[in-house]
Amino acid sequence: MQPRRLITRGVAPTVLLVCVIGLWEALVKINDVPAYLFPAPTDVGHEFLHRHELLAASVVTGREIVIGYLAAVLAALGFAVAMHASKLCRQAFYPLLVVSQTVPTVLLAPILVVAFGFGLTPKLIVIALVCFFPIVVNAYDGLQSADADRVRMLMSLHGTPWLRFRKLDVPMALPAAFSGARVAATYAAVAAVFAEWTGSQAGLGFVILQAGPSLETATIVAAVLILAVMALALSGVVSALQRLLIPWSTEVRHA
Amino acid sequence: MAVDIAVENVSARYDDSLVLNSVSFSVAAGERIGIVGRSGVGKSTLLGIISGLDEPESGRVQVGDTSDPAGRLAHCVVMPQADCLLPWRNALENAVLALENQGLSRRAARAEADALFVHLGLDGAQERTPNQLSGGMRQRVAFARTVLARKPVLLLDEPFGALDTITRYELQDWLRGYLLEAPSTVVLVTHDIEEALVLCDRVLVFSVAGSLTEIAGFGSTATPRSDLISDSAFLARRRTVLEEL
Repeated sequence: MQPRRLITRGVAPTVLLVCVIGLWEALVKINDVPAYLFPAPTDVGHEFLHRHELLAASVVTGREIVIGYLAAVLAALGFAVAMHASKLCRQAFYPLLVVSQTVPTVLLAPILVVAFGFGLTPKLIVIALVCFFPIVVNAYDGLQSADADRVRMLMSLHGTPWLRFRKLDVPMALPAAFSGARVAATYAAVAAVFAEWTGSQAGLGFVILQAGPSLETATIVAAVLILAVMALALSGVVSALQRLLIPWSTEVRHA
Repeated sequence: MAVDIAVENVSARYDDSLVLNSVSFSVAAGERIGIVGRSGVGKSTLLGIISGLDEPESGRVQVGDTSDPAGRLAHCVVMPQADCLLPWRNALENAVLALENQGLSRRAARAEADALFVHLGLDGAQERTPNQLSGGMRQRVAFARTVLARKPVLLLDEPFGALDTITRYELQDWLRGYLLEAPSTVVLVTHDIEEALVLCDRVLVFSVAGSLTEIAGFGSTATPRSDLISDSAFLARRRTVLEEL
């Protein structure tokens, strides 16, 4: 996208956001709503500036999100390739993968805590499980998407199954795989919070859990905003990578 | 070196219906034959079978000295109707796919493709991506890709079917010039009778009833296309093909 268009497109939502925040602040102040019931944006801002444990908690949760997400990407791509390459793998795994989606993965967190303790491992597993599905399904569908004409063309150009995989199947799969990865990126933050709720001594989920009973509502809002920014940032990085690595991807979708 | 093709009593199905019923014909080494017929008579199916990408239900196909599918595929290259260019590669990278697949160095592949690009009027378009090329240019890149497979048999499936009339005529002209010099054996599937007669030495007409008629074409005549298509002999043969269809 051109910088100018990007700026023009950014203007409308920014103006709207500023208006909403202004209205929010005004309503809270005019009606004199106490901060524990509904904090004003300035109360939340105050939390950002003065509650230093938010930074430490963000580092903890951010690390969980990044590691868990990367694990999900690697595992999902591995599974997608295995299912693409082997009919047996596909027949064995694909139906189970679909059915597994009816299990609310985040609710597995308590079980994982029992099995793996209160450390990093159960959190990473929950995040990875939540992010895994959209990536594996999209990547697999993408790998299967090469049209018969292109496959026949490539095979008649001294092609081999390996060359077909490298030069046709993988590039064809990238746009879909990136779509899945972008969706998964937005799930990762939520998964991290759920994982932390089941047993942790640190992280934004822990901060939210602690702040609830003591009515520190502004802290909760601040933590939620940080989580939203993290999800946006991760999804932004994935989008940027997509534009960088496969600038042609919009054309494939239109073809 | 060109190779010959023998198709003997080939029958095949497409989506469960019999499209080829005991078809037999042969193509001499270096000969250019056109296959004409209405949609659904099995023209493309036949190309798939000759190439070794598909197997017939019954019958036998021999290409050069071999009749097994892998051997046939080693001799044949297929050019489908859609240009099938890969959008993540520029024109040149698309054209050198076969050379790359054979392990040729990038530089050697590029040198070979550059010469062909000049010959095909594509010079200067090497670095363009497929979406920056016109329909005619895309088809010529696809043809370059086909030729650079350096196989003795070219199987062309409606290569100009998706183009507008003027571009189609232009491309038929240069293909005619190209084929006159090339030693390749060519099987051209088309539903354009004129195209088949202009480009090929012999035209096989597949009727809906399943019969196969051979009619001589004008592929080796030096007469320019514009004169040829108004020639009375050409018009008479065109009428014959139409009647057979």
